[in-house]
Amino acid sequence: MRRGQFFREKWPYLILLVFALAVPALFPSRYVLQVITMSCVFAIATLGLNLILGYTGQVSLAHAGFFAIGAYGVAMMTKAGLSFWLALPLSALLAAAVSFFVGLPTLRTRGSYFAIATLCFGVIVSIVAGSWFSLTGGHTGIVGIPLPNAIPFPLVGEIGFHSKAAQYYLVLGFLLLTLFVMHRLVNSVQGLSFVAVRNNEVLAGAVGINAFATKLLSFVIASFFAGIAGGIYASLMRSVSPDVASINLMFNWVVYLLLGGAGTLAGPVVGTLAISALTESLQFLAEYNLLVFGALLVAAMVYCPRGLVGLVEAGGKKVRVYYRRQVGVRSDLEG
Amino acid sequence: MEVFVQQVFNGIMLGSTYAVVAVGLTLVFGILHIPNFAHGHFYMLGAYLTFFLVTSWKIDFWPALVLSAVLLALLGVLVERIVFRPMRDQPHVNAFISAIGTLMFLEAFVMVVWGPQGHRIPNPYPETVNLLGVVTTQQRLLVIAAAVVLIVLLHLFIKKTVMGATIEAVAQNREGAMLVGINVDRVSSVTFAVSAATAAIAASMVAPIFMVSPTMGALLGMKAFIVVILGGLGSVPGAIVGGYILGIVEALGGGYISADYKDVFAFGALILILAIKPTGLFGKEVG
Amino acid sequence: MILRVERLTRRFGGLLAVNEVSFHVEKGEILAIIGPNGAGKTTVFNLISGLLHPTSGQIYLEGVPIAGLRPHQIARKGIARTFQTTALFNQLRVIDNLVVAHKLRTTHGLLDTLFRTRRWRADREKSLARAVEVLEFVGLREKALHPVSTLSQEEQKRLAIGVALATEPKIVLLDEPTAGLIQDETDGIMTLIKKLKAAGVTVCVIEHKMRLIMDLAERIIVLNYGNKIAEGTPEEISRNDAVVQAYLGGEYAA
Repeated sequence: MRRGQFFREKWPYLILLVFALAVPALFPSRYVLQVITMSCVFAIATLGLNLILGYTGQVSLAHAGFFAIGAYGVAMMTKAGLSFWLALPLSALLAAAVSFFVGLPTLRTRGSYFAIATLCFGVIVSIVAGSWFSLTGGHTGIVGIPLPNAIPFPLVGEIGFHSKAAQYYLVLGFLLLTLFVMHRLVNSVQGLSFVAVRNNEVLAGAVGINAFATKLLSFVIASFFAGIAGGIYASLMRSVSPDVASINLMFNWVVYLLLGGAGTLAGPVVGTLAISALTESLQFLAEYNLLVFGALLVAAMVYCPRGLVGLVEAGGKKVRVYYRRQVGVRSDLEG
Repeated sequence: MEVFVQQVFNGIMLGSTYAVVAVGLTLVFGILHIPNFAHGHFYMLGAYLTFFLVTSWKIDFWPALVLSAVLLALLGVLVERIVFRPMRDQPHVNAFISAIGTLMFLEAFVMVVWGPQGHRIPNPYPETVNLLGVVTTQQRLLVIAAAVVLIVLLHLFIKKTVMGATIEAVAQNREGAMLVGINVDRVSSVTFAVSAATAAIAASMVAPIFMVSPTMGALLGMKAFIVVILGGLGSVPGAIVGGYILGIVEALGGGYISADYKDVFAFGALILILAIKPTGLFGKEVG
Repeated sequence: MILRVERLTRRFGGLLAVNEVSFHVEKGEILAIIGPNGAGKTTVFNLISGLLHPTSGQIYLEGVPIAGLRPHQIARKGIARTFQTTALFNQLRVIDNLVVAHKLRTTHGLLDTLFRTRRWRADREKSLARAVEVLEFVGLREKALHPVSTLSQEEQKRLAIGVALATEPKIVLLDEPTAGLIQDETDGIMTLIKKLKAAGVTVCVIEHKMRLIMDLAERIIVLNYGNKIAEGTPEEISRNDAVVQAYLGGEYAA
C-alpha cells in the first residue's frame, strides 16, 4: 500500500490516535485522568467480551471471573516478588487456561443454558475470592500491590509508572494492542467463522466449521483479555477485593458493549468511554445510574440491537470501504 | 442426629421457597421458553412490597402479602409486554440480555427507594415450637405449609382450568395454538402474572425469617434456574422435587462441610451436570 | 463409486424413519431421491451429512466408512449439502459466505492470522479465488459485495448451492433445491444443476417435482415410509407400479 493511499484512508484513525496521545495534556486533573485510565482498562475487558458475545453470539457471564483471576494472579505474583511484566502475561494465560476447562463443559450447552452455566462459574470465583482467606485475603482482599515495574531505557534512564500520565500511556498501549489483535482476528476468515457460528451453527457445521472449537477459541481469547484487564487493574489500583468478580461489574460491561454496539470493533470502546464519561459527569445522579442503565439496556435490545455504532454505520456507504479492507476483494469485483 | 434432623428441617424450609419460585420460573422459562433472568428480582421486589405495606402502611401481614402478590402480577404482565414480547422472534440471547436490563432496573429501583441496607419484617408468628425434637418457629412451619398449598393450587390451575390447559397447548405448539384461535399474547401475560405472583408470595412468607435486601433476588434467581434446568425444563414436578433437593443439600452442605462454600456445591453441580447432559437432567432438546 | 450407503437405518423412538436403505452414487452422475412427504428423504441426507447418527448401517465415501462422524468432519471429507429451507449466513455478505465455506480447505492457524504470515495471505488468495470462481459459476458475480438479504429467493438458492461448492466437495447433496420457487426460477435452478453435472460434479438431489426429475437424473431411487421401494432409470421408475401406488396414495406433486 502506497503511503499517500494509507493516509487518505486512515486519517480519521490518526486524528483519534493524536487525540488519545494528547489526553494527559488535555485533562490535567489527576482525578479525570484516573477515570479515563480505568475506563480504558474496562474497555480492554469489554473488547474481550465483545469477541465471545458480540462476534460469536455466546453470552459468557464468566467474564468478571476471568478478570478476577487476572487481578488476583498479578496481585499474588507481584507481591511474591515477580515482575509485573512477567506476572501479567502469566495471569492472563492462567485465565485463558481456566476458561479452556470451563469452556469444555459449558460450551456444549446453548443459549441461556450457557449464560447460566458461565454465570455459575463467575459466582463460584467470587465466593472463592471472598472465602479462601489464606489465598485471597477474604473480603478485605489483597493490598499493597506494587505498581508495574519501571522499564529501563539505555539512554533516557527508565520509565516509571508513578505518574498518572505514565499509567495512562501504559493502559493506552495495552488498549491499542488489544484493538490490534481484535482487528486482525475479526478481519480474517477466522473472524468470519466466529460470525458464521453465531449466525447459523448448523450451516457452519455443514461447511466444515467445527462450531464447538470455534466457540472455545473465541471464549479462551476473550478470557485472556479479561485477564489482561484484571491484571492491569490490580497493579494500578494497588489492591484487589472480591468486588472484581462481582456480577454487577460484568453487567456494566454488558451494558457498555450493547449500547456501544456488539459485534463491531469501535462499539465496546465507544460504549465504555462514553458511558463512563456520562456517569462521571452525572455524579449527582449516581444513585440512578443502574436504574438508567437497566432501562437503556432493554430499550437498546428492543429498538437498536446494534448499539450506537450500528446507528452510525447504518448509512450503507461505509460498507464497501470496510469490505475492501476486510477480505481485500480486488477492485475488478466492484461492478 | 439432632443436628442432622435440624438441618434437614431447615433444608425443607429452604427447599419450599426454591420449589415455589422454581415452579413459577418453569412456567415462564420451561413452558413459554422465555429466559426471564429477572425472576429472582420479582421475588425480591415482592418481599420489599410486603415489607413496605407492613411497616409503612401498617397493614396486617396477610393482606399485605395478597396485595404484594397482586402488584407483582401486574408488574409481571408489564414486563412481559415491554421487555419480552418484542424479543419473541429474536435469538434467545437477546431476551436474556433484556432480562439482565430488567433486573438491573429492579435492583436499582429498590436501592433508590429503600436503600442498600437490609430490612426486617416483624415476624407475625415468632412463637417457637418443638416438633419431634426440632426447635423451630411457627413462621417456619407456615412457610412449609404455604408452599404445599401454593404448589397444589398451581397444579390445579395448570391441570384443571381452561387457562392452564391453554398454557400447556401454547407450550407444546405455538403455531398450532394460534391456528386454533388461542390468543398467545394473553397466555403469555397470564403466565407472567401467575409466575411473578407466586414469587412474591414465596418471598413474603420467608421475609420475616431472613432479611430483605436488594441483592436477595440475584442468588435466588440463579438457584431457581438451576432447579428448573436440573428438574427438566417445563416439568412442574421436576421443579418441585429439584427445589426440595437443592434446599436439603444446601442445608446439609452448609451445616457439615462449609457455610461459606455451600453455594459452590449447587453451582458446581449445575456445571457438571450440564457437562454430562447439555440439555439438563431430564431435559428435552429446545431451541 | 463415490458414495455407498448400506442398510442405513434410523429409528426415532418407535418410528422407523429410515429402514435398511441401500444405494450408491457413481462419480459424475445425478442421482435423485424421490418419495412422498415423510418418506425419510431428508433424514437420509441428515444421516449422510452427520447431523443425525444412524441406528445401524454404514455409509462409505470412496470406500471409507464415515457414519458417526460429526457434520464438520464429514464436510471436510468432501460431502457438501444444502438445506430444504434455504440456509445461508445472512449476516454476512455474499462473497463472505463463500470465503468462510472454503475455510475447511485452508491450513493457517491462529498465529498466522495474528501475524498475517505468508501462509495466511496465500490461503486468503486461494479462498478468494475459489469464491470468485463459484460466484461466476452460479451467476452471482455482480452481487459479490451485497448483503444476503438483498438477494431474491432464487438468488439465495443459487448462493446456497454456491456455498456447498465452495467447500470443494466430492459430492453435493441438494435438498429440494427448487422448493418454494415459481416456474421461471425453477428452470434457472435446473439449468444450474445441469451445469454442475457438465462440470463433472457428482450430485444427489431430493426433489418433489417429478417432471423435473425425469429429465434431470440418470438414476432415481424411491423412498416410501422409510423403505426403498424402487430404483432405476427415469423410464423404469415411471412404469413402476409400486411407485405409482405410493404417489397416488400419498400426495402427487407434479
